[in-house]
Amino acid sequence: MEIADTYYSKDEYVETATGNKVSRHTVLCGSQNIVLNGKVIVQSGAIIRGDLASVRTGRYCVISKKSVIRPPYKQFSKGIAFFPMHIGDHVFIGEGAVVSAAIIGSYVYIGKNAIIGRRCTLKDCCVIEDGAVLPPETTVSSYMRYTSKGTIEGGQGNPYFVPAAMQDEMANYTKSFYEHFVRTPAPAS
Amino acid sequence: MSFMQPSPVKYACSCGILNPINKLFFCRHCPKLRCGFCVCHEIESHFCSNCLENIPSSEARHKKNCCANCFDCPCCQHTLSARATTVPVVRKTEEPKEGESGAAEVTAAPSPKPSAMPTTKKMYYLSCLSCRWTTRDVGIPDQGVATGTWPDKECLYQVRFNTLMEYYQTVVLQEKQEKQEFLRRKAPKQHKFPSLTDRTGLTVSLIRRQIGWTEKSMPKPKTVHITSAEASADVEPLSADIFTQPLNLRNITTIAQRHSQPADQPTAVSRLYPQRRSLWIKRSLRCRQCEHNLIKPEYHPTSIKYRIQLFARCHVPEVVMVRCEQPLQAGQSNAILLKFTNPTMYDMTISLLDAPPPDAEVNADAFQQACRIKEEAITSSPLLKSSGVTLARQNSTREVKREVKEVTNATIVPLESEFVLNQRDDSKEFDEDVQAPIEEPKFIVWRKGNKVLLRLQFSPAAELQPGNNVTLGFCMQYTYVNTVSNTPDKEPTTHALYSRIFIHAGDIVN
Repeated sequence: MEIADTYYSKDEYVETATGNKVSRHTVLCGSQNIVLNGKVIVQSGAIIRGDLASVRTGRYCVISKKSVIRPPYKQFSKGIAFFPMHIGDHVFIGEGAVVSAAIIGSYVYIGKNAIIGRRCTLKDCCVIEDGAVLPPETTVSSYMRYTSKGTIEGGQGNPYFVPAAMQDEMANYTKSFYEHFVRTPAPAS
Repeated sequence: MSFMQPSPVKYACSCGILNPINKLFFCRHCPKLRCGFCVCHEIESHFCSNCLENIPSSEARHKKNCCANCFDCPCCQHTLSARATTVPVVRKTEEPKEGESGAAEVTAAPSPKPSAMPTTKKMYYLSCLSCRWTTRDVGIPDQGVATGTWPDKECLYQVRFNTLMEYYQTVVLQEKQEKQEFLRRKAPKQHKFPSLTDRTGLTVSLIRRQIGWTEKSMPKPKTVHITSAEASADVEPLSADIFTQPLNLRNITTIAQRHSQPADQPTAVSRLYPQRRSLWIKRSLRCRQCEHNLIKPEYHPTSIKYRIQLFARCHVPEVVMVRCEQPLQAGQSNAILLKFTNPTMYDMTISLLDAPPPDAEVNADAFQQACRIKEEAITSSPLLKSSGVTLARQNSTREVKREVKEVTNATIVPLESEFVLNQRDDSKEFDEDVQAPIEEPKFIVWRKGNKVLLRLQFSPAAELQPGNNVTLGFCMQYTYVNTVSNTPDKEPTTHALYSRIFIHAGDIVN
């Protein structure tokens, strides 16, 4: 089904030269450490903790409402250290998701209210179901689906869990999401 | 709409099952839609989903399809990760000196020198970050290396399993030899004059014996003797304290935990042991009719590419439901907006019909014929027929025509004419919109590159109740230019193909 248009008011969103659309109602700590590589949508209520370590996203990412992007940390004998976080292209992060992964590949779908524990690795073309909880240091490899029950299913060539053409599907989905995320038309006066 | 929601538009596969287009494949050789049920699933490569290591299939078999380095938690089946701890170790550098003079030993012991200071050493244990189980819980000693040195728990019946396996391997070998021998005797020799001795191979063995050579027979497999299993009625009696001791369920394993450790299936939590992580596979899919690959992924576990990819959405026009013009009401005419996309490099002519054309099968017949000839060539060779051995993959799966189960409860108004869907051109995306206005049929709302939005009129059945789902179905006939063809001149051929499409338009409103 075609994605319905989502309208935003001109006052709420800032649009950058590279096409990023960032809501003003977000908490972007340490904004000098946050790199959004173009055509990224950051919706209202999202929190990106750039003050802990740098966060870098690819193109056509969607960071939905009330999601939290928090760089991962590792505990050492002398304290803890935060690590930078990389997010690939065409990544969708659902509403209310808390993401503390070390690396998120490209074409990744993260469902609503999913919790990604610290230092997880999400490879390209994987799916995290709505409400799934990933324990720390989990690896989800390509074409795998992490279910809300905590199991990993799928694999490349298995058509039942992750679509075989996940790459094209996610690229289409994030692109059309961006195209349908439009400014409210000015009232005709 | 969410990415995860099921699509309202479903295509009928050639086997009659309805699927969204992203679960379908398109066999260019048949040329038909194929779903997960009408393809052969084959193992392409083995890999560990945790350490992402590619493991060749022979090695995978040798390692019992388990990863050598990764372990699963016996408690919650999540992956274990190695934790490092520092353990103080007293370095004994002074020992040879101390052995020389006993007096020095006495004086040295109470005042530790700097060289005898305890240094630290890294030790590793496995820990589950999901349920906090550690190898220390069950008393497995820490290891000096993070991976590779974890001891395997020997299965109680390992010796028995090994002898059984050895035995059955010899049985298989023996049967194979007997069969070969049988075939050799049975197969008619291409001699002009039949000879009796040739049939038994008697002359050959006679001559060999006269020369003094050994018999040219295959080495006889040595027979392994196994003792047959015996059923015994002796069961340990229940201990008396099972009735008196309060049961602590925290110490008892769950069914899932026991099944994950099939060798001994422990009942006590203290006997859980890290289990080697089982490998995952990449699959390649093959059309069962013509045995051509539909999907062939690359070997490397981290690669997301395909060497062969025949997704339906790259060959069949994609239909996307945009919306219905009015709220759905029983018996009232309505219109639905549908977006058609041409994914191919050739223009397509599309017509929407309300019933499949009766002669639709004819076009595909030439391909079917070609497949059949190939199949018969394999199965009709006389030698194979006589021996009953088929070298080819079992191709007995005849296509079962299943009636499409979906019932439509709306009547569509067929479009008055067919329309052309332009070819895909990725550079069009960056072009300015300078399309000359051309005469379009009335039902086309807009046209942009390879996409067309059209308006299809329909009316839900009058007897529908509020809340009922409205399903409309139609048959989409489209021209498809096939670049692979069985014809000798490698010209692309054009087919008129059709697929049946069903759309869940929504519910009837009050």
